Amino acid sequence: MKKRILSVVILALCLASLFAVSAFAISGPDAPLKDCTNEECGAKLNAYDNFCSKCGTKYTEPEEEEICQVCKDDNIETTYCPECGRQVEKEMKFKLDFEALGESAMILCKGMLGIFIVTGIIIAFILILNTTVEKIKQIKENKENK
Amino acid sequence: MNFDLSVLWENIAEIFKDGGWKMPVMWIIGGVLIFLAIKKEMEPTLLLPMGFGAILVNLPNSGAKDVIDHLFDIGIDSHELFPLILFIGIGAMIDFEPLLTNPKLMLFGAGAQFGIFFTLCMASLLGFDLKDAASIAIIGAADGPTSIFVANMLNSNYTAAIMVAAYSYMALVPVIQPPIIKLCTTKKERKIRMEYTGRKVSKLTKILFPIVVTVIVGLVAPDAVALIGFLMFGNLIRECGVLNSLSETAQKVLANLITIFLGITIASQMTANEFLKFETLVIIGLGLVAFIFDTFAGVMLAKIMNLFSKKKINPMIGAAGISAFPMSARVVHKLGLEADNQNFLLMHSIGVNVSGQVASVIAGGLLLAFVQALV
Repeated sequence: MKKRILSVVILALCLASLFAVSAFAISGPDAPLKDCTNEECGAKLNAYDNFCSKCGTKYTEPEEEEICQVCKDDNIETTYCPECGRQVEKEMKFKLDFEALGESAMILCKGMLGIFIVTGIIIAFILILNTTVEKIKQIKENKENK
Repeated sequence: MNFDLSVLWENIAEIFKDGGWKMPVMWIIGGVLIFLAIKKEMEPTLLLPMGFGAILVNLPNSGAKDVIDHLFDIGIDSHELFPLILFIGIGAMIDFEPLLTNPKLMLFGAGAQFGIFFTLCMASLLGFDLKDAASIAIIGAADGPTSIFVANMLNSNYTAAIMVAAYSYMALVPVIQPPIIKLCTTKKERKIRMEYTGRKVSKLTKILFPIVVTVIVGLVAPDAVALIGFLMFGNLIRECGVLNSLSETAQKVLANLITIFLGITIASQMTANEFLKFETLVIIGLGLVAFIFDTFAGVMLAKIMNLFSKKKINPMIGAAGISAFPMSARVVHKLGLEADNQNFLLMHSIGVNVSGQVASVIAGGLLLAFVQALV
């Protein structure tokens, strides 16, 4: 009885976490506010707002400046410095990216669903094949016995 | 022989130049890989060539770098030739009979791919861009060729670190899995015995299986069809019964030959500047997360299935769903015997293990499809 209750609790937790991840993936996490592209407006936008509710300006991501590590030229369009030709090293910044997490959580849900669907099809195929082969065998044996 | 001392001084001076210290560090890493391969017998077929290659490409002004780079270009960069050909050999080695007699075991193979997608989330959260996060996540496939294939298709910046992590953790399966399995199961659960019918599967089923799986996966995840197709082609050679000499060649000569080239070729990515980054450590950590969650998810799925099935399943076999073949199956079998010396789980865990091989390729294909659509 105890084991059964424990199993039901585990199942409930698994389902709850699956729903939570799905909901999280669909609705998006609470990401920090971002500034309106129109500097004069100065309003704060929610992470998933594409337009400013105050001035109506479309939100565009601020461009990150790349700086050459050698000659400190920050006006670089390619990943190579036009001045000295050295490759610009992009520094990896370890900050928690909740927006990317939402996208990945969506892939998690779709990926696991996809695997189980493909697996289900393969299992169905094997079962059908095994049954068919068994039946053909039986029919052959019956004929031989007759 | 004309021996020019100035060359020697020039090369020694390279080591003392700015950033030159990284080269000796890479020699030590190469040495450690060789040590693990020889002394600890951890995946020696790959860790030894990789270790030696790491030393070879990190010598100052190494003349071998061009040759190894060329091997990388033709063998991996251009259409992932080496991993795909290696899959023919692996396919020829796999016997799908335990899976075909009990097809529902395949569900565990599917469930144990959860670690891949969970790690994708973790890597994304830590700030890796999606293609790198997916390449890191595929370490959880516990399958070297699939990891190489996906990381290279996604043009990841961390291929070398991913390869080293993938192969090291595959070798470490007997160390990583038992504590996780024990943590997720009670002793009573580990004692559950499973009946093995030993039913024979017809030759027709064995021949049709690789063909139909290729078609199904090809239709659902076209990006994975090269991997699954080569794997199943190897298996068809094995099962058709008329190509025994080819099957033997694929299992031994072909697989060995490609493994030699693959190991040394991966080393082309192990140059000090590419490898000695903080991210490498993070990737190795995330690889461990992937293996842990693969194991956890496999065991949990078996527990959930026990709620609904009359014949109880030993939840440990779910852990064999990661595709590290056959180490994972052996680990589960050993733990079964540890709990009860008459509890033989090998055939069941082998069935789950081979299904993990197929499922990991499907997972790789799906991951590629989803990520490529977004990048």
